[in-house]
Amino acid sequence: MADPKRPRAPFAPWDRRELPGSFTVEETARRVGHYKWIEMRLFEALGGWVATVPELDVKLRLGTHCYHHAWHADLWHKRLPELREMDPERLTVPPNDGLVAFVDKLTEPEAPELTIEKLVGVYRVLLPAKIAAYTYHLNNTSRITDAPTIRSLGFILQDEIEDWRDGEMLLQSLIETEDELRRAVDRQAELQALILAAGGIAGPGSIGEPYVSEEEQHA
Amino acid sequence: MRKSFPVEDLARDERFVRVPLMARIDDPRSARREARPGKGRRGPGRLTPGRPDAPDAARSLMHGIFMGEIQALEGAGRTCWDFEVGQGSGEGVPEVPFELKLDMARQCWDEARHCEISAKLSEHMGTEIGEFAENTFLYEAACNPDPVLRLTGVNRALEGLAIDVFNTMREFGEVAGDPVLEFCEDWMLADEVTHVKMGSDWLRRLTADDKERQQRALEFQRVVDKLFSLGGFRGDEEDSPVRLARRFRELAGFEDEEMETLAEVSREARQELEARIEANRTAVEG
Amino acid sequence: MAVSVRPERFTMVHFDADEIRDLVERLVADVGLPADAAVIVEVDETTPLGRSVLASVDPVVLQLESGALEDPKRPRQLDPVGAADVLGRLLLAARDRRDPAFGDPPPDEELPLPHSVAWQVYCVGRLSRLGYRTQPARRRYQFRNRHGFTDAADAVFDELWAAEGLTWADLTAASDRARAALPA
Repeated sequence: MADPKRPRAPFAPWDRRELPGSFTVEETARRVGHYKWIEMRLFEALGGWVATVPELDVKLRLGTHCYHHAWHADLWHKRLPELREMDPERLTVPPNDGLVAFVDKLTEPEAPELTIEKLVGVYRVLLPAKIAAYTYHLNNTSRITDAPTIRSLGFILQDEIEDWRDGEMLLQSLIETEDELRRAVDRQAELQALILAAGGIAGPGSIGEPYVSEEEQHA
Repeated sequence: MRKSFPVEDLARDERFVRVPLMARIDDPRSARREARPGKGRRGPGRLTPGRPDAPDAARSLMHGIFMGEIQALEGAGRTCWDFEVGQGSGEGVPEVPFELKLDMARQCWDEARHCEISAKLSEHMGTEIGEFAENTFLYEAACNPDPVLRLTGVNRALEGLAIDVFNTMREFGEVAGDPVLEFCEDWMLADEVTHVKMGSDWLRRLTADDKERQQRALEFQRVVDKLFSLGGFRGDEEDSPVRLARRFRELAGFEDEEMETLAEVSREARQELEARIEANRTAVEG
Repeated sequence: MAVSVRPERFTMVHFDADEIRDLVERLVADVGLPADAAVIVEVDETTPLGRSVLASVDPVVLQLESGALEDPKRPRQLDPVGAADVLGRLLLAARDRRDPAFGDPPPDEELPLPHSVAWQVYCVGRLSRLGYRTQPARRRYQFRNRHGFTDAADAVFDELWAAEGLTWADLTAASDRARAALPA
């Protein structure tokens, strides 16, 4: 019979999680505040668009996706006090004016014949940017100290990827002519330029710094 | 995108045709129907399988439910967009708490799901999408610029009507032996109880310190309840096509007094319609 | 063939008696009623309800409330496609009643609902093969409501829909067979 008093390590041999992470508590709270801000803007827009799109399948999908992003905003809202931010509204802000300009342009189309423009903004520009920022955060934060954020990111990324797929398939089914293709491409370019200027959903550094510095090269 | 979306701009594909409610009420045939001596049949009566036209009546009602779900989805979606997040109720764009918007987004999901269920049910019943005309009075109730009145009109009055209608359809499905209809209506009924509770909770929370606003909201609810009684189509009488679903309304937080008030406004609606028909009859015969 | 429509001029709905007459004449020829058959179509425009009745087989008298011919999306307007469905079904029932080989069904008001619906399916199935737009899914739902939501009922529906040359005895036997599969 095994001896219950025999010591075991706190981490099982197959649990290879390490302590270090790229973000302090404050930096994590800053990012989470930006995440909450963009999820709110997104779910509000999706909800508002439901009445404006005539395509029945698109209308219903927007309603479902509206809830997904509202739930994400709620997850981030609940995380903020856990990161010592007792006033979540204080950090629920855009990273810069550039992202505000992006959201203003994203939410501009209203007419019923602009479904392509509405969907391109969300599914070919914003969701990919969110997936990128969330993936960077997931892979760079401490797997031990920041486990709650990682858990939320896991659920959120599952939604983001499935919603992206839904939206992309809807777009592929809507784009049937060269004129429609051109509209989609032009719209994507217009919005991509704005989010590029903003630096991503958390501002510059949303997906880290991919280029090595001189010091690192010669370290 | 505008911060208020008028009913005439609701986006639809070519299958859908809108008919104003007044076109039905002012139909000269309605006046004559009541005036015929010896022909006591007032209208279709309660939806029961025993009626020879019951399957077609159920189809028509189901299509109406489908259109209502689309408008409920659109209304909840607009509430997500039309208001800013905040605690104020003063000038400028009205503000609502963050949690209220979360509830509206949840309702968007639920209503989208109801649209999907209704579309499948329509297929089951042999109804084509857009087979019947659309009436937009449900969305019109969701257009109120005051968020308290909007939630009262939609989540208490409109969703309350949904409870009554879904219960009628559920019972019809049960008696008719239609397992699909009964199953689907029961699931949707469960969601609607949640939506009504949302309305009750937010009405209480947002007007806790403003009794005048609360009174205005309850008065607005009374107006909408009367409108949604559709001239006695929904009521507490035995021959009302859609009966008040008292048990489920109780689960949703309606007090006995509220249900008695609702039964009373439904009776008033029926009497007013009958008076209007009589006036039309006199005008036609004169 | 003498087809008459009453009233000849509508005042409460926007129906055209000539349009209805032309439609009925086409249907009478297509369903195989004798060329000299007298057909009277009486429309009660004072009510928006949708009852439709075969009141007599010689002359053929069809009595309809205006809702039966009305476009469900355009109040008080005639729906030619929907009207053909209603009128065609009644005319086929008239042809059946006039055919001695069909048998001797009870008057319409005495027919049990399941038998009435089974006959409707048989009529509308034939109408669809004559090229008229019908709603088979709607008819299947009506049939299921009277005969049960079972595979057996669906099989009987398919038989009736595709059938030609049935007698009244065939119809009632099929209807009863479908209902026999209902759970006790």
